Amino acid sequence: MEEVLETQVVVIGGGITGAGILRDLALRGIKAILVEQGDLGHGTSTRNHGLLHSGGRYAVRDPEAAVESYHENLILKKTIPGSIEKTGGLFVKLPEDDDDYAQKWLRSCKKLGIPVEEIPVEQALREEPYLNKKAQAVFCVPDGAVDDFTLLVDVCADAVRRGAKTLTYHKVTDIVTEQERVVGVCIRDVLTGMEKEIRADIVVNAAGPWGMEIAGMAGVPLKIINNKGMLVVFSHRFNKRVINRLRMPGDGDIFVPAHDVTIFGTTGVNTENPNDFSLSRPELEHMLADGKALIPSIDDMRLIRAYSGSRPLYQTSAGRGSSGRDVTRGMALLDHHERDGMDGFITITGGKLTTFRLMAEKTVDLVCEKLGVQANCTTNVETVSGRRTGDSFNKADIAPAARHKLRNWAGVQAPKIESALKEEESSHIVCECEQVTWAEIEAAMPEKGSFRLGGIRRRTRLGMGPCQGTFCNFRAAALAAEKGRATIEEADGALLHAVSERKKGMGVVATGETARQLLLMETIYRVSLGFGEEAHQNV
Amino acid sequence: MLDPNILETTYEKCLKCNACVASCPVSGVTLDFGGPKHLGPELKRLVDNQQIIDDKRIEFCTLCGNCDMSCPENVHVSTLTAYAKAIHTEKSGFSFRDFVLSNAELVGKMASAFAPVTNMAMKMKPIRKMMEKMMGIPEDRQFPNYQFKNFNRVYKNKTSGSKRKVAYFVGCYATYNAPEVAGSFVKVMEYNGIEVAIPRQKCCGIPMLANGRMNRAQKNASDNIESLLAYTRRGYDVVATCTSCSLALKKEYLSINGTDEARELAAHVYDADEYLRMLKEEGELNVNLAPMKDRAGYHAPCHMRAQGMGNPAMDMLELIPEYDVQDLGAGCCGQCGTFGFKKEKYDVSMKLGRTMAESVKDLGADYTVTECGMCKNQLDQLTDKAVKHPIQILAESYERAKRAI
Amino acid sequence: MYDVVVIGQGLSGMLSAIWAREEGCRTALVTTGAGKIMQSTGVMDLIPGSDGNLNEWMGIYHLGSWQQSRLNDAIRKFKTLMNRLGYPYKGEPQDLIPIVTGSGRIKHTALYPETISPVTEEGSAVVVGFNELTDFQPLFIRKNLQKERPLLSIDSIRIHLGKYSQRLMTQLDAARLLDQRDIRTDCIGQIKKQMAQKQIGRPDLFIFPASLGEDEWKETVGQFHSELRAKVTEAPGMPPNATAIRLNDRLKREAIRSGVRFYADTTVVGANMDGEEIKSLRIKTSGRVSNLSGKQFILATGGVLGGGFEITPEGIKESALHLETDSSGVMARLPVNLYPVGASKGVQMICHGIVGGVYTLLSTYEAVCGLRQSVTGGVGNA
Ligand SMILES: Cc1cc2nc3c(=O)[nH]c(=O)nc-3n(C[C@H](O)[C@H](O)[C@H](O)COP(=O)(O)OP(=O)(O)OC[C@H]3O[C@@H](n4cnc5c(N)ncnc54)[C@H](O)[C@@H]3O)c2cc1C
Ligand SMILES: Cc1cc2nc3c(=O)[nH]c(=O)nc-3n(C[C@H](O)[C@H](O)[C@H](O)COP(=O)(O)OP(=O)(O)OC[C@H]3O[C@@H](n4cnc5c(N)ncnc54)[C@H](O)[C@@H]3O)c2cc1C
Ligand code: SF4
Ligand code: SF4
Repeated sequence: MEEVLETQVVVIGGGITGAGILRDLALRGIKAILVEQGDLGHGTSTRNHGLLHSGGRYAVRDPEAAVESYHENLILKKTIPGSIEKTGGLFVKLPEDDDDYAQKWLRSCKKLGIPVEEIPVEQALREEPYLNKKAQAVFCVPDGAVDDFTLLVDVCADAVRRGAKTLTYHKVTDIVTEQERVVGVCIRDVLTGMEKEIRADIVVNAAGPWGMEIAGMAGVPLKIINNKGMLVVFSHRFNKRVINRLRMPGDGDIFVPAHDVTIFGTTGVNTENPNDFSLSRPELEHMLADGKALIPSIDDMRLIRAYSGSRPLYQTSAGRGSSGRDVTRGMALLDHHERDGMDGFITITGGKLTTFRLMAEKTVDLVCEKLGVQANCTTNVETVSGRRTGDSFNKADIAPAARHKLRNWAGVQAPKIESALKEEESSHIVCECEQVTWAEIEAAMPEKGSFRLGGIRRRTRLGMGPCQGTFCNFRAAALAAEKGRATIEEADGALLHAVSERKKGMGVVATGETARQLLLMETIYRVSLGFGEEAHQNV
Repeated sequence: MLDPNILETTYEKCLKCNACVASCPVSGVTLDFGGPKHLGPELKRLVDNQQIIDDKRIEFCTLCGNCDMSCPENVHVSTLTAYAKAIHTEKSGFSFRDFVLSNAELVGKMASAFAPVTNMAMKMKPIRKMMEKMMGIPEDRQFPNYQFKNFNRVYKNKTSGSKRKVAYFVGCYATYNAPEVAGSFVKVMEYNGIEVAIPRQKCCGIPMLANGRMNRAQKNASDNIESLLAYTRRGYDVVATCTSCSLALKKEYLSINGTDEARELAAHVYDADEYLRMLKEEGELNVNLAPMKDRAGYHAPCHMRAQGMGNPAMDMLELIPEYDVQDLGAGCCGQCGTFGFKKEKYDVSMKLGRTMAESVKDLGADYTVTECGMCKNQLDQLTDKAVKHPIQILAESYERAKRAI
Repeated sequence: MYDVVVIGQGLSGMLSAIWAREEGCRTALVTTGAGKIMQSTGVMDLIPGSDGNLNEWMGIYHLGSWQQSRLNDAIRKFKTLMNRLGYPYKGEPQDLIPIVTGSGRIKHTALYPETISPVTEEGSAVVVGFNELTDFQPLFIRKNLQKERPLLSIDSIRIHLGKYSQRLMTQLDAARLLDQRDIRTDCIGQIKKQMAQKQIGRPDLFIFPASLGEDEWKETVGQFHSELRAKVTEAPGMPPNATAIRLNDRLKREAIRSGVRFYADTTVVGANMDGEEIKSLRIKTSGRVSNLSGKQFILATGGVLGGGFEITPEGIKESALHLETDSSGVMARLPVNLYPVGASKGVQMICHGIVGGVYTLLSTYEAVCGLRQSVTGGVGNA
């Protein structure tokens, strides 16, 4: 063991839960290090639907979760405005949907204080022309759309700005215990293979679907069932607002507008393996058949990719001692000292993206209690800096669409990017679909560590458009090598990896235009650029 | 009402293959233009159900339609660029939202919005020439002018009762610039014993689309559809001598108007030579054409090529004995967009023009034939050869044949 | 109405139409849009994405030995045409040559335009990129090429074209700029200056993007060659490559001038049959459907990529004439007067949705021969 770091709290998992905890800890002046095995958002936090729940979906089935969601929805809109688009949402009742449920839903929303407003069906059809003309009733709710990645990045950056540390591409390989007490973790730099140890008073397991593995390292029994959901991305954004179906929540009944695309889902299939991101065509077809009820022309619209993520569902049965503190039915905060007699170890799991702040608050409350720190949570009022930058980039000589994108995206990076754009080559567009300039890409590259297109994609939207990186992945990799930001091996490796990774997501939806797009990508790499068989090796 | 979220969904098929950019004549000569892929499908995707993005570079697009012709995925690129133009016009004129909401005040507001878009026309000499003339026409003035009305009345009396009846869409160009073309058309129809009526008509709307005046174009479209349907429903075929007009009636109205009526009308619209070629195939054409020993170069207007009908002008001209006509294959006269573009582009555009002029010269042709007034303007500037409409040649050949009897 | 109706405007469609005109047929060409030739590299491979030789090629495409001489005829015919059109092609399918691509990799190809030269194992080369051109990064190319050519001494330099655009500049844009003499001269000046500064000696080969002029490629290549006093080559890669656009534009112009009637922006949506024979095509232009009659029909609609086949959730479908295919897209029974060429011959022929240029030439040549043979109503009577 080469290096030993020390801190008060180690947070395992760079998903939104871990990030939220890190920021809350920082705000309360507690020293902490977050350890993540991949890039931020390697897990469920960038593999979800991006719906900022208004609570409407849970109003009948789980009133507690509904209220929590609505409450958090209001707080997040105020405190993290940069990652949220206040789209509003619609609940649409179709003829085949149960009238009783609709009545129950209305009564429950009223009781829970979730604002619901009925709008004339004609108006809804005018505003959302793809909606089923047979809709019987349409209700507006304050749903929103979250950019899960900017949310995660911004929350982490805010924590770091306040003194917290993050270690990405570091995997927790073991948990160090001394006499029924967790005292630290062993980690391995997955890029260099270097091993380190972090000593800490408390270790928080926020590893989502991997939570069971982590608990296992501490010798604590924990049962999590991973419920895998599939989501598909349409090539463009065809709805202004979130569209939900007014029925008992089921598969394939939500359409969320996300920047330039619409995301549709989802399903639920239990899986053992947290690394199982597999996609199934029958599952997709089943989901599309459901979706057709809300958006009848769904079959004519182009899907550009699919992805899946897992919801960790905590099973109370596996506890040794007490059953832990259920925060609500959906989220579980486990004090393993209380539950299993293992001090210094906490697991937080379940919940939703929408309620991550609350989960963090409860977790850090418990940490404070354990550390004997007196500090109140302030994440309900402290804001994270926004993304929109008004009239900046006026002088940049770039296409209006690229300027528009930057103004809604650059956030705190704006000054850096703006000055980079003064240089002609930095203002070249690299990704046309999503209008990403080289200046942005450079700003998104990590200071150290190897060159990866995935991280750049999530930070800039590079390659997220309909061509799925056919052109821009090559440009970005070649430019990185050219400008000394990557070695030739890194550039070629990243390129091949990105191509095969995109191919996986496209494969399952590859009919019609997307099949053609995929072939175009393959042909350009294999034939035009001469990669030949190389292009297949990385799959 | 202009809705930026028009249900024009072809853009989602775009593979970003760049075929349209490589084929766009304007993109070929200036880097100041954003190109069809970006200003068409790409931009549309970025604004759909989101904030509007106004890109001034759209002013360079001439709506020539070469992008549509090259797109293998059938994206209606120039419909999308026409919308980008409309957005630009409104954005640079006044608030887009106000525009959408205050439909009733549209006409008044349009007038004030008009100033910025003429900038484009100012950059494009031939368009400007044409626009200047058209600008002089009061907005609501209706066609046809008196001269035609009189002629029409006399003519109708002579041939009423013919099996086929034609409603002639004269178009601005033949009305105001080249009445001899209209005259020749009526003559050719007369030689074929076909009654010609001149329906009430407005400008087809293409120049308005080119200037981002979407609403105005839509208004004209619905007026023309109404007036022409009154004829087609009585058994008339609508025929135009201007290929931009016929393209508008056949194609553009389907996207800017999009009604069942637009579709109904489109099925009855013919380009003049296409109509004659149809007569030929049906064995109804008067083939008493006198030989003409001329040697001519034919320039195919983009809006003719965009109609997907082969090359009816060539097919017809080849029927004239001894007539020697050769397709120049020079693509878009393209330069129509380029003169007066930035100075450094001047050489390129002159060169392109010279290529076309040279092919006219190489051919040793006596004159050039083309259907389009804009192309004619361009040819007039770049060559010293006369430029004629194919219908004039046909009329001449019929005349000679008659004189020979 | 027409003797021959060609469906598709790719390499195979345009060549078919031109050759059918040469046979004296009244010819129409119906097409939705441009062919894949516009995204291609302008070189003609045997097996796309592979270095396989002629024998392997004949195996993959199920060709008989008697077709060898036809292949030679086809290539000769193509080369003659391209000579006449002012964009000559070199090379032989028996003798693949290594060329460098826009990623610095080596690929082997059979036929290539005069703007391209093979890359040697040894000697020296300089890769020249343009600052404005994102699709061609010289240092990246140099490093990759070095892996494949360890004995070659390679340098790279970047110069500027001196033009900025808010739109992404492509190799084709660069080619159009280099059509201008003053820009070329300025570029050559920059190259010389940088080589002097960096003390790079005169190399055996200069490697440029596929941008050495469009209309004036001859002047451009000539000027670079004579003033830099070394061989120059284009390294095609990211589309659009000027190497391919030159070919496309010249073939298209030739087709128009020779009297092929283009039905542009028009999609074939079906056929009217009379027994085993196609009487006419149902064609669709912006919502209007009409019939186009002809005696013989050439199906040049390409593979999945070109639009000739569609991958649907139910399987592969032939998209223009709705001919029945098996699960891999092989058409079961062809109408007697239909000749598939190029990538439309069926997916079993297709590597990654395309076929190489060489197969395209052969199949096109054979189809036009086929026209000649089935004389009834065919070319002989035209
Ligand atoms: C299909 C689907 C749709 C959803 N839609 C919504 C929605 O619309 N709205 C909403 O509010 N919520 C939604 N959710 C729920 C939401 O996404 C999750 O609740 C949330 O993302 C969980 O975040 P997390 O941080 O707990 O887990 P994760 O994001 O999975 O984070 C766990 C992290 O731990 C890391 N890790 C694991 N093991 C180790 C180790 N040994 N060492 C280091 N790091 C490790 C992982 O790499 C991972 O990044 C959805 C969930 C799914 C599955
Ligand atoms: C990116 C890329 C790189 C390539 N690089 C090389 C290379 O380096 N070397 C090499 O040898 N080859 C290369 N090729 C392949 C080569 O260009 C093609 O395989 C070859 O041109 C065969 O084309 P084709 O004429 O058969 O069909 P395509 O070029 O696919 O043309 C099909 C035509 O049919 C039209 N069409 C389709 N359906 C209809 C319909 N229903 N009605 C009307 N028209 C229709 C389309 O619009 C199109 O014009 C490349 C291809 C691509 C895409
Ligand atoms: S209409 Fe003509 S000028 Fe406009 S984008 Fe298309 S090809 Fe270019
Ligand atoms: S030609 Fe069509 S598919 Fe290709 S980039 Fe242009 S619009 Fe897109």
